Amino acid sequence: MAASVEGKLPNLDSLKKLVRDDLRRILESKHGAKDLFIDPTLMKPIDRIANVKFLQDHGVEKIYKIDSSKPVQGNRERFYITRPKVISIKYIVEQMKAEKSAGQDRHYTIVMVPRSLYICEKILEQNGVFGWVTIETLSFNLLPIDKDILTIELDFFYSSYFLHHDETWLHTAASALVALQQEFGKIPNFYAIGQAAKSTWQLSQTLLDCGPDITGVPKQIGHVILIDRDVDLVSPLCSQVTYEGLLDDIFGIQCGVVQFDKSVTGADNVMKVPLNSDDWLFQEVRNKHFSTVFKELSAKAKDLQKSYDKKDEMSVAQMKDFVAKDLKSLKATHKSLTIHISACEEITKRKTASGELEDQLATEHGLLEGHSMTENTKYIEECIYQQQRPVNTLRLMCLLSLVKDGLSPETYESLKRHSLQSHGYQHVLTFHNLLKLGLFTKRANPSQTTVKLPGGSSSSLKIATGKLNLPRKSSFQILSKNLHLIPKSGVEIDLRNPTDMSYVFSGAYTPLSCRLVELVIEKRGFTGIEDSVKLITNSFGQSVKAQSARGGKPGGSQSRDPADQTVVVFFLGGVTYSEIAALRFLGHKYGNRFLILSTNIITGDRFISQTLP
Amino acid sequence: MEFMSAEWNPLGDIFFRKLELYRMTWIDHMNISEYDVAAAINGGPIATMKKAMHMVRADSKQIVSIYNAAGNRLHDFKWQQGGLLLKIGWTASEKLVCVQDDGLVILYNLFGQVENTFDMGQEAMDLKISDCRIFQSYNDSGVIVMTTAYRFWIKSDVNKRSAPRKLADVPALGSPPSCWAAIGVDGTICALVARDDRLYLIDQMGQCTPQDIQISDSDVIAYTDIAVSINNKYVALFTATGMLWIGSANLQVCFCEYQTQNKSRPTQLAWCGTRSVLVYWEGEDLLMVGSDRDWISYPHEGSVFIVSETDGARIISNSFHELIHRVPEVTREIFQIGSIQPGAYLFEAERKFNQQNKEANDYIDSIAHQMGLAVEQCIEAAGHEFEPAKQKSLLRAASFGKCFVNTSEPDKFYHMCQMIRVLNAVREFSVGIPLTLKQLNFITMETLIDRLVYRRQYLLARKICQYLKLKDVEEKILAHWACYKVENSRDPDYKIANILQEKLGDNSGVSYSDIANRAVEMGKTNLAIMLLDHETKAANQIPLLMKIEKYDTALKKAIDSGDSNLVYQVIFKLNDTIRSVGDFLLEIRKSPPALPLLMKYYKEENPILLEGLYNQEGLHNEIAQLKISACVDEQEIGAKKYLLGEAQKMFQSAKDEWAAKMTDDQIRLLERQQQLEGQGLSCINQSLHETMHRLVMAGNMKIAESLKKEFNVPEKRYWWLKVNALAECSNWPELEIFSKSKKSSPIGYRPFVEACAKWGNKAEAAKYLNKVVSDEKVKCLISIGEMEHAAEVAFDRKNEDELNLVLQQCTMADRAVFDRIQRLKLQLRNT
Repeated sequence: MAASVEGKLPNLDSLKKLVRDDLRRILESKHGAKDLFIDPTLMKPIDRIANVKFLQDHGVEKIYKIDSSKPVQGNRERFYITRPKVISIKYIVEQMKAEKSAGQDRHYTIVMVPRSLYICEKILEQNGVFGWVTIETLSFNLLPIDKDILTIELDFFYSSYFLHHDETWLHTAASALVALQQEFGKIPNFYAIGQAAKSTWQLSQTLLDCGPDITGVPKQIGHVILIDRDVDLVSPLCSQVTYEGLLDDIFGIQCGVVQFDKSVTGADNVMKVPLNSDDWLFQEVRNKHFSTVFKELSAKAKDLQKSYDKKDEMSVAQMKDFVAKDLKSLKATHKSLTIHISACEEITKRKTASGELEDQLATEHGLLEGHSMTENTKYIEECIYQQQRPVNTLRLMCLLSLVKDGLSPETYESLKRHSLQSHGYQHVLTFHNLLKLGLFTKRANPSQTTVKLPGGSSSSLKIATGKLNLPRKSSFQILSKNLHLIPKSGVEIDLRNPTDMSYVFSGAYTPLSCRLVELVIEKRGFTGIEDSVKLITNSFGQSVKAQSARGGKPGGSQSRDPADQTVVVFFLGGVTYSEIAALRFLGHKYGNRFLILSTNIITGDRFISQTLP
Repeated sequence: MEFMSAEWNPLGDIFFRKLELYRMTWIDHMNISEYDVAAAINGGPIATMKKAMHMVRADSKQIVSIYNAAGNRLHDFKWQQGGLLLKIGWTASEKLVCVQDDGLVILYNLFGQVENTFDMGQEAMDLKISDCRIFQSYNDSGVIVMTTAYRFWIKSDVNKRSAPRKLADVPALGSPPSCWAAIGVDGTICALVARDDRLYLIDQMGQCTPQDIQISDSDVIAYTDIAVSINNKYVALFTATGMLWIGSANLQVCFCEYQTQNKSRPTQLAWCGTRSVLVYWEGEDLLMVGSDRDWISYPHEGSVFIVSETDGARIISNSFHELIHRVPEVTREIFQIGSIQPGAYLFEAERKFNQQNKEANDYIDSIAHQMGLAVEQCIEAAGHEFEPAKQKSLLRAASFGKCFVNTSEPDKFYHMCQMIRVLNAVREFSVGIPLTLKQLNFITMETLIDRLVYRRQYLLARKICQYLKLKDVEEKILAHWACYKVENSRDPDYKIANILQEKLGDNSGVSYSDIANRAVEMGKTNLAIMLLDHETKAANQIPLLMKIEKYDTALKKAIDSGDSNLVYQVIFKLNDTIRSVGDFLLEIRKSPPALPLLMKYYKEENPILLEGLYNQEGLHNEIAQLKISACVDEQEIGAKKYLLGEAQKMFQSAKDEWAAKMTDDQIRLLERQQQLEGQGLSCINQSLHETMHRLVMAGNMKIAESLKKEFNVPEKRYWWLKVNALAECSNWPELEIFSKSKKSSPIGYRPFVEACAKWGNKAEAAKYLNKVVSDEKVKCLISIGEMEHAAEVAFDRKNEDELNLVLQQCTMADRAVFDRIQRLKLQLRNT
């Protein structure tokens, strides 16, 4: 089934080709050999679009990272590919100046991805180097990392928008939506949850109006749901237990490729393994709960052995056929199987050996379900005493704060104090950020004035400080109840053949973000769930084409239009592989096709790391 | 109609026909003989200026009048530049060129508005000019002037900014040349000058080339007039002996020499197309001479003015505007008496058919195999006709012929119908562009539309575009129209804005910001703002709003656009414009979303300004954060302490007691660390916990204890810390002593076991096993690798979860244990 569903998704390869063509145009704009300097954050994404061979074919001789301002000897033509960020531009400016004063005569081209910003040009101008450079833009808004995942590769989106209220990158997000529609047709129905979601949609509409006419492009996508990350802060904080999620948590997946070290490969060199649906074996286990993965893989190993064994009974002709056709794929499967089994072993070793994951999961589940709060708080304290990784304890602390709508001033301050003693005073900055983001807050004491924050327009801030007279239940608990996020206790979840999205968190919790997607798709909007959504954000909205409104829920078998069953879910501020797994599950359940679009892919650690000084 | 060819005049092997284009509207007041006349080619407009000798008073201002080809006055203006207006002429793009006697050249549009001004150089200014030529060059048009010193200066292209260049001097030219003209040679413009009987070609590179001429008359006294054909290939010369010489431009080939019997200098000598020359003396008939010494004489009333065209010449008089048109080849083939061309037969067949004459059939039969050609001939001939009746009859014939061809191309017919409709429309009396099909094909439809726009015939131009489905061009017309409205309408701003909005709508593709820009140039700021409201692209609105200093609107629009890049543009502009930082910030504060952007920029570029900004906003807590960030980056202890002190003050201002206290603690910790550092313990930049950990490892329990007291470290933390630190430095005896320092450990004894296990001493770990509470025993055993033992304990506790835990930890190597646990599990379930 998986294959058939994905088979009908729009083919994302064309997006890669567009970027590649654009890059070719830029490189060919200058003749002769050239050296290429790339923004470190763009290294991997560029590599996915245009490999070294491609770059060499277009005259690139050497490739460097933009991370210092030292002059470098090289060709006459110099290209910088960078995000329009002040820090990179400053490196570039200094390097150019140093090279000029060292008497190197060179042509400089700065390629801004995905567009040039005034602020950068201003810096070039202020430094008097504006005249030396040609500025190009590479419209690289979307990177397909699998058949159903697109990212914008903006790792800093969450902190820059939600923490610093810097709306610069909304334009990039909106451009991504525009690029998507230029390729796959205008998306008739949209639903937005959150302020960034709404702004992005509006901006994309404006950009579409100004851009080329796309009415002629065949429509392949029926709906887009935009979700701000701060609508659901809980899901990324929970430990991941799906296979792909754990791989990301432990080894880190970059642009769809994982890098296994010695512990997995057993050899000295690292091994880069692409993780996507082209690897059928991985495709079968990626979304599974980790506890079942090993069994699956052993079963596959047995099948593989059988296939190999067949050769013993073959005639010469059959054998010839076998070698020509099956052997290669068997070998590939073999290789993949070996690596995934080793990876599983390593995960088990790292996560469960110490019993750490066990305790952590128990605590997380307790917090989500709202029981044994005192014990859980104690556990967190102990983690701090034991000098566990700060990111890890911060995750638990934030979770604690989130499920309780903020902590009592005593708990709040004591946890902070313990953290500072363990990890250092500089985490005052971290806590300040966490407060601004509504991740770790104290329940406002009516007599106390709240901390004044700059640009206090974000919705998270309202949650953080706005609820003074709380009922006994926290809003998270109300949401859990209204939206059935926490399965009734005592109901066993079959992790092998799950029937509910909550399996991605061992049956303890259904990711709020994914539940919202489910409800919005089912109800074609927010009818009936406005009250719940209002608990999260006041900024939500929709624009639904009238004709589709009467057609019942999308993806129902009565719906004939395949585009109507294709739904883009756009996460502004990051998505985890667990949420992706849940949405894939949802797609299978309802016969929808989900295309995940996100500013970036996150894990709990990467998510929290954005708030560190 | 059969006798259409009867009106034709043969000239050698070609024919000419005279067509009446217009009866002139100016008939009441025009007397051409009193005026200098200039007309643009390709059916262009006419300008007149009274000849000096006919001026009522010599010192009165000259009046220049502009008419269309039908004599409708478009505009009059007085020449008020102070000098004498010497010559008027037209560029190919229909700009009126006026040359003053000091070399000042002004270009006007059809409505007397100045489009461009330049001069012809210092010499012209100092010495004045005595004559000039306005010529069609390869791009547009240019000017050559002759100064009173008989030197020539050229400006090749009136649209370019380049300075005029000098042409080579003609030797021994002490008096005015007997005649001269501009001529294009190999892509550059030169002048062909006659000094009596000598001819010279002078160019811009300083070359003066005497020209040999193939002429039979050896005693030419002087050449008194000269005319160059429009394509620069042929030249006509008139001699003082009354002879007309026609030949190639290099004068090496003579086509004919014709004795006119009139020795006076012609009033006008002009080419009619490229095969014949018209000679005109005031008061006499027009004489047309062909290259074989054939001639035609055209009688006319009153004075006339001749305009050369590529396929004929236009004759303008007080009452008529006529075209002497070379009969196109295809027209001749159809209408020439006795023609046996298929087109002629088809035309005849159709006529007979309409008369229900069976001869039609005979005609059709005779050209059956050439019907395709016949149809094409009729279509093309239709295009060359001026009268709709003739056009129709030819098209009817074509249409009739199409019935007999299987493979006719409908496109040609359709296309010609379109061209004819357009031509008829622009020839209309009110528009007055008497264009022939050949001329239209030469100048292109696009240029024709440009010309209509230039004449402000917006409606017609737009209709033509709609008719021909030229959407892009239509947008261009709308934009021109809108700019015209903005420039010329005297309506109140809101009304203009409404009119424009009504016509342009929201999706016409016309840029509102371009129009608004024009409004700004006209000083109509309010109108510009109203127009900008309709501009969909914020990126286009904002630069203009800033140009008219509407910064608040610009900022608002930038913010509404959701594009921070635009907001930055406004912020920076504001920053450049407003002198005082305070006023600048005040302005920014009016638009709250701009503030975070400014903060972000300051954060990266100017922390001091950022602090000021926070201060103004009363964001003390943020300032404290800034100080702490700085402190983290700072390495020097004194500076660190200073920054922390600053932060502490800010926290106090922000009434954040807790943070102030923490900061105070940090300052004190830093001081303690500084002391310790002096004692050889590296601990700066370490947390309190890490510092104490190091102290314990270094065996410095006393100081660790004192820190514990000073900073209120909880007992539990201290125990965790000490256990781990002692285990890490393998101080097992001390660990044991510590374990016994209290009756029972506040953190239990599992940490002891695990710490020993972690630092590789399982035997030592075992010492504490007994003290571990039973709930934690299994985990402890696992941590020291006693799987079997762990399984037994779990079994004894009848705890399947714990058994599973052990099971999970068994590696493949522990096969025996693995199996055993499976058995125990079964056993447990069965009991």
